[in-house]
Amino acid sequence: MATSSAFTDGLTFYRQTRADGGIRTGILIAGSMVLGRFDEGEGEYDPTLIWSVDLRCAGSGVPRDRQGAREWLLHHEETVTAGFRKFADELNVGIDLDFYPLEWDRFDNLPEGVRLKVVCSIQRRFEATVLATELRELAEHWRPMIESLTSPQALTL
Amino acid sequence: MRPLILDTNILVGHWHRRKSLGGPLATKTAVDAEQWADELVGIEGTDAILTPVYLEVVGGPVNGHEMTLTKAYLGRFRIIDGGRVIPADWAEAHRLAERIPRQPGAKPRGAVDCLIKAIVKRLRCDVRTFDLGMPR
Repeated sequence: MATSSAFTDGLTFYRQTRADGGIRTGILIAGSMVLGRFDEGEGEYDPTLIWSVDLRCAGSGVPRDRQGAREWLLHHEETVTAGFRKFADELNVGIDLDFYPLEWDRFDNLPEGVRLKVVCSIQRRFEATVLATELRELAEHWRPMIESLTSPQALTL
Repeated sequence: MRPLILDTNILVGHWHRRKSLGGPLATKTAVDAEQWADELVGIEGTDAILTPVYLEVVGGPVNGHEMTLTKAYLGRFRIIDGGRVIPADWAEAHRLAERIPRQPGAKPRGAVDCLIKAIVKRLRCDVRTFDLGMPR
């Protein structure tokens, strides 16, 4: 089993939504942001997170550079999106949100030398089904979302 | 770095969960406290905090041993404002404190929460907190 640091030292895709509706999406390699974007919300400024989803990837098969990360996440689209949908189905069945954050790693057809884990957080007043909806959205729009990410220098934060 | 700040209640909540496990706090060491911090960083995917968060957490201990552990715990996080609270932060904190909330029954705006929000705005980050009532 990979340790937490193995995951944070590896590749992380994240998407986090704020109380003002802003959505931040990005890819980290060993904790450094290599690709990202920020979509402004329409609400009054409030950077408090409502929910977040991380896809954390560890192991020797995980790329270590920006372009490799994008290509790798696109190449393994089927494994990743199937996992998101499977996790969403489990959330709809019902899950105890007292366990914070939620971690899930029952992916099928993992690439060799790779471990994947989804880590989700959500404000406690919201239902887990909100996360299920967001996971399905991620699965549905995975390719264009990954393709839309730009290098951090070009970000308008 | 991930543009995500951990609020005081996230650090304190994790601290209390960990210290309640495996015996009294007096038996814990600085190494234990560092491991608790590393665990939280691993969970949250960020080690970023702000000066006001540091001050709120370090203001909690009630004896010397607890202070030693707390400082060891805090030492694993990065204070990403570099200890610099600039005049613009105070001005924004004033604005947030003086703002009348639109929603009825809203909570009073705490000084530290206003300051955290102000610094977060300058640094263009998001905040992980259990407190949805932070001032807007």
